[in-house]
Amino acid sequence: MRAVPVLLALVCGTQVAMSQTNGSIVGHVRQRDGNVPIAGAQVGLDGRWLAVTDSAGYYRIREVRSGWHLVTVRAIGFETVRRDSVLVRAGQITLVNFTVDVFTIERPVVVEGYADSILDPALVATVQRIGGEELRRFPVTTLEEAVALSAGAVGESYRGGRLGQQAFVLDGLGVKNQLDASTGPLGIRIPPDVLTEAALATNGFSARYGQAISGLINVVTKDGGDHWSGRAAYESDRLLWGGADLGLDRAVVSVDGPVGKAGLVAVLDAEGRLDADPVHAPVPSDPRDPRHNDPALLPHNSGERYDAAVKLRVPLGGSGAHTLRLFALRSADQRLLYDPVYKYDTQWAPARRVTGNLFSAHLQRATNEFTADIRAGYFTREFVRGTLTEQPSYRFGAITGKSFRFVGEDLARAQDTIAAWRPIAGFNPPDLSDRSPWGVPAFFVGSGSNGELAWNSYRELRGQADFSVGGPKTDLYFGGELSAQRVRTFQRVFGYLSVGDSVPPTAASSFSPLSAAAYVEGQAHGDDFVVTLGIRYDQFDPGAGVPGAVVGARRSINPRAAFSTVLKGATLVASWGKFSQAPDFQYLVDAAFDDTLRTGRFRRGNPNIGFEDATQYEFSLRTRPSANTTVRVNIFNKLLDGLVGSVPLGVDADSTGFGNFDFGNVKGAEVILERVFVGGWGARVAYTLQRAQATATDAFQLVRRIRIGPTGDTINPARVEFPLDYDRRHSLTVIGQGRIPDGWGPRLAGRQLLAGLEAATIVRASSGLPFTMTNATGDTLIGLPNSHNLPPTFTVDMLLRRPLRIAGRQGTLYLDVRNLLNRRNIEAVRRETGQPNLDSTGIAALAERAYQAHPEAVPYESPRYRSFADLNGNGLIEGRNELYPLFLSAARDFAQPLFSYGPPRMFRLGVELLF
Amino acid sequence: MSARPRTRFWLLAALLAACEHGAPFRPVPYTPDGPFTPPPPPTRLTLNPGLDLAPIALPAAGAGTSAILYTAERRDRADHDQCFAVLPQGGGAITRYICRTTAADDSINVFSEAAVAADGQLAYVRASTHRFPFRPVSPDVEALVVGTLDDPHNVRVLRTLPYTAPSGRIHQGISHVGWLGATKLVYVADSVTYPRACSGCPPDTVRTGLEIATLDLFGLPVPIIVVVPGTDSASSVAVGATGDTIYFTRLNDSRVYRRVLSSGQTDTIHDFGGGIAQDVAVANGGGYLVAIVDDQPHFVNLATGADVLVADPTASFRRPVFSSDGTRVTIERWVNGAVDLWLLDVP
Repeated sequence: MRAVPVLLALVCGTQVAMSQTNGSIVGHVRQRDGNVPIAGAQVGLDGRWLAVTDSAGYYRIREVRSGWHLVTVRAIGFETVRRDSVLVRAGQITLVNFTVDVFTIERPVVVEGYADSILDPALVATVQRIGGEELRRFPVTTLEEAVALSAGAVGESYRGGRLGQQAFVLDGLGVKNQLDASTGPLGIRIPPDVLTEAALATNGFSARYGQAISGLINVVTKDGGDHWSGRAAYESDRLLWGGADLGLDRAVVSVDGPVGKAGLVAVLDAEGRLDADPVHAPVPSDPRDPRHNDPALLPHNSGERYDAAVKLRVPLGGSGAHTLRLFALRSADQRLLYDPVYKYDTQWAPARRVTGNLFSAHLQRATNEFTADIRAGYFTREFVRGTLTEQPSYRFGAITGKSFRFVGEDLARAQDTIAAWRPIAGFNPPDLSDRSPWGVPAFFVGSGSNGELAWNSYRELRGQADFSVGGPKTDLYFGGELSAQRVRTFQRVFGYLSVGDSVPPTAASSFSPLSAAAYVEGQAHGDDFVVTLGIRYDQFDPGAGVPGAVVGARRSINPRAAFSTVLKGATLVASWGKFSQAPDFQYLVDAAFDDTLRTGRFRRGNPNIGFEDATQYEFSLRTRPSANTTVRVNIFNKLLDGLVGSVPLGVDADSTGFGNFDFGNVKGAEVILERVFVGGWGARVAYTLQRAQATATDAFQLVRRIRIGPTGDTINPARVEFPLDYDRRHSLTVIGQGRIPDGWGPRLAGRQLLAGLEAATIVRASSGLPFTMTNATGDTLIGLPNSHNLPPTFTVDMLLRRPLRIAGRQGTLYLDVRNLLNRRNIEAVRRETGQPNLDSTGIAALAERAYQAHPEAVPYESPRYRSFADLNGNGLIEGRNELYPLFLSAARDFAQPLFSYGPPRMFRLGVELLF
Repeated sequence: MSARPRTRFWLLAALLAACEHGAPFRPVPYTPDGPFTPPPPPTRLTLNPGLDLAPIALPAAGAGTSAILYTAERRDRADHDQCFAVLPQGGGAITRYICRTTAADDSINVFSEAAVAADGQLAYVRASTHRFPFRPVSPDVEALVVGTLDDPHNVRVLRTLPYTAPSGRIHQGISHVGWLGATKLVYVADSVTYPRACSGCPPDTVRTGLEIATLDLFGLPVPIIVVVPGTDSASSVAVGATGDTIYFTRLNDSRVYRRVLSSGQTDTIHDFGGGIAQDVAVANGGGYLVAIVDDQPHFVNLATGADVLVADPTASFRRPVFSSDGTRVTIERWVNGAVDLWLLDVP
């Protein structure tokens, strides 16, 4: 087995990089005749001579940026050998061995180059990665979708963690929405075309990184190449028909190349969808329901997003040791949000806009022994949700080309709580709609929106310094970061009314937290083992701007350790680490929220809450049964503590604050089998078994649901652990790739249509997520929270790609099909029924309540009059016989569980051109 | 790009733009587009079990767009607000409600006594009453306001009620509002009482006309109210063709008076010879009038003096208003306390 000696050589004679952005290249240089090691040979990387082989012929180049590189070896008396297209991946070692000949003898040069992250004991992190090129070849569109293919991922939840418990690292710079990550998006989206690779680390990640207790998404972007190249792609489903036409358009243009000595990468990625959240809900049976004939698209549910990124890499000085990288990214995502309440008056339904900007600078000084990375980043994110001042007009598909404007947006941005005391201009009071097919005043709302206006802004200026020193047996990493943040929030509900007894006051905040961290980490190598020890210090201080803050800075010490050793044909890693993250800053401040009874209830912030913590133990076994196959088994136990949960305030069941009093644990095992893409096919199978439970699953959800016992007493459930919202017990992801060889297949009109055809398929099968059942009135739990499970889900996605020549250029025609089998997956159910639908009794009860509220006759001239319901034709719909059937139909219509279902089969027909 | 690929590109773009794309569902009109009772008139326009009051004709925005605006009681609201409703003149379904309030649902909001100027200004009386127990019967807030038909809620408050008029009387209510021009209103100022038939009975609202007043809102921060002399006990007023002439009736009087505001000259243009005339409206430049006499509508050709009674002894009538072309009249028809609007042809 050739890998073993190579590996041992690696362990004994080299050190490895632990950086999440950079990898390293190691190998040996030997003479062909007699396999004699060549000492003193110079090894160069991308034109810079960085390393010299030792007496055993080994060399090592540390801190090599992820991506494609040129490695060169020269030694006196020998041929100079070049190895082009060496792929280095972040946190991974690439082996490049050279066998060279004496200069005077003309014989072919043999260069070996391969990487093995499976057996390398120095790799202690549990990392699953996907390259930018792979992303194009899989039926995934976004970075988030690609990362979600990892074992242990449920959407953007990793290893049972809730949303927001992950951190995002872009080219080594931490980026996180610290304001409302648990309920809102990051704000920036990385266009896949700018990616070199993305990876998800779920444990053992370097002490360099914090602010996460569930996972770390590490993204490395491209550096501009030394020649101009680019890609233009357009994909759409609008050439299709019927339900397959969901109004999708996406265009991508990317270029990279040299600008003088600098390298430039620029990407623009734009997408519009007439239905940005399509659902595969059953077609309503009532032909009067307008969705009966047009079930595919939901109105007022369109979305558009724009992501633009530019990166400039500037080498400084002549030595090539200094490099400056400048990166700018702007993302805008705006959505109309379908709400069944506004089904017939969609102009009053809410909309949302999230914009994000990131500007970063990275100065690197890299030599083979010492590397310094100085980074600075400025991240801004703005979120607004409310009612649009006017409905958007589409220019092409769902593309409006204009930024949404919201009622009261200027007021919110100015945080003018005094002016917001009065009704906000532009809001109309809502009224029960008269535009439904049923007419009756029930369920559906028109005339005005709910008057909600939510705005927040988060800004962060972050400085980061990272250093690494490589020694003969050890590597040392140390550094720190400091980030000054600015948080501003504004929330108003019932904006068409004055603030008063029944309308909670406008909630606004403005404060400037300060976060800091420092770390040191070392890795020592023995003969057949590697020990990694690190410690990280985190602190955050909300600052003086938060009313009621008395605690000041909160601090956390997070040690991490790993031991890895090489067994026979396998590597075993045992790791332990403590991780902490500051809570969402939204928990620190008050929030106004809309309770339908307008009792003026309130959610009170707690400026004194502290870190959320996780301590994780993991055993990882990695092996390579054959040259092309790998097996990884991870067993982990993660203890959660200090989770933010709701605390009841007084006797009002819906008025709450926040506290760090919840705890839990996540246990699980992951098995990942991989067969690399060789010989026209490759496959990857990932299975996860896990159990995630805690005393709270969501900071916005009350644990202590008050129940009335048989004797009328108030009973609070005990503080027991119950499944977390993202506790998916079983999940299986199978990815298959295949390619039909060139010159294969039948000929048609002189062309071999199947030759070169590529296919990638992703099959996902998962057990259902947990949910909580209640009684019919919703005030008493049946069992513990999250003690019931949704049905299992199953999807098959497929991407077919056929290379072709377009206008003399290399291009590709592709068809991307999601949910190929058009399976109707249930993603949510009603708590009182355990099914997506309300049962007939429940619908009848809804209808009865609505009828009792409005038993009045509907006159002929009323917009509510429906002639089909006027059974006696007297111009009045009156009495139970005529009115109740309308209320019943309206209840059936309203209770349609549209968003309980996952997406339908969706197509993307695309063409791309490489230039 | 060579010519052929460029052609293909444009063909593809044209295909994308031209082909029939999927679209989200949309609600369709579900309401009838004609009157409940087919022609010939009288045509019943409303069947609301609540009150339908004080119609006015809206200027036609185009052919077939004639409409009326009136106060409709919203029985589909818990608080039974009285809102303005816009209804096609020939009948059908209400096309618009003007009903926005910034008060909560626990208040009764009343929009009444509308008058639309030729330039689209809309003057009306807006009142709001909280439904608290043991509160006074009169509205908490009541005012004469002016906005526009397009944006009726963005208003200027001209006068809150009640107020003390230059005559020394307290004007507690306003009715029969009309525009004398773009900047001047005329109305009947009322006294309002709330008698109860018995100690436990709900109160009734009784309006008694006091006098006619004009309100000049041109360029003045506080509009000037002037009581029109000689209009004591006026019960209704209508504006003539020029805006310089008003027609009015008086309590317990069978005559219809005409007054030229510039000259101050008042004369009797018609005497019904008995009964009590009220709710006068004029058309055809003042050549034709309709008035309610002893609860029944009388149509009078002022040129000939011909008086045509359209009798319906089963009902009482109030507040006739001519259509913009003067050929039809919309009128309140009262039967046992229920009020609906009907459409009559001018005989």
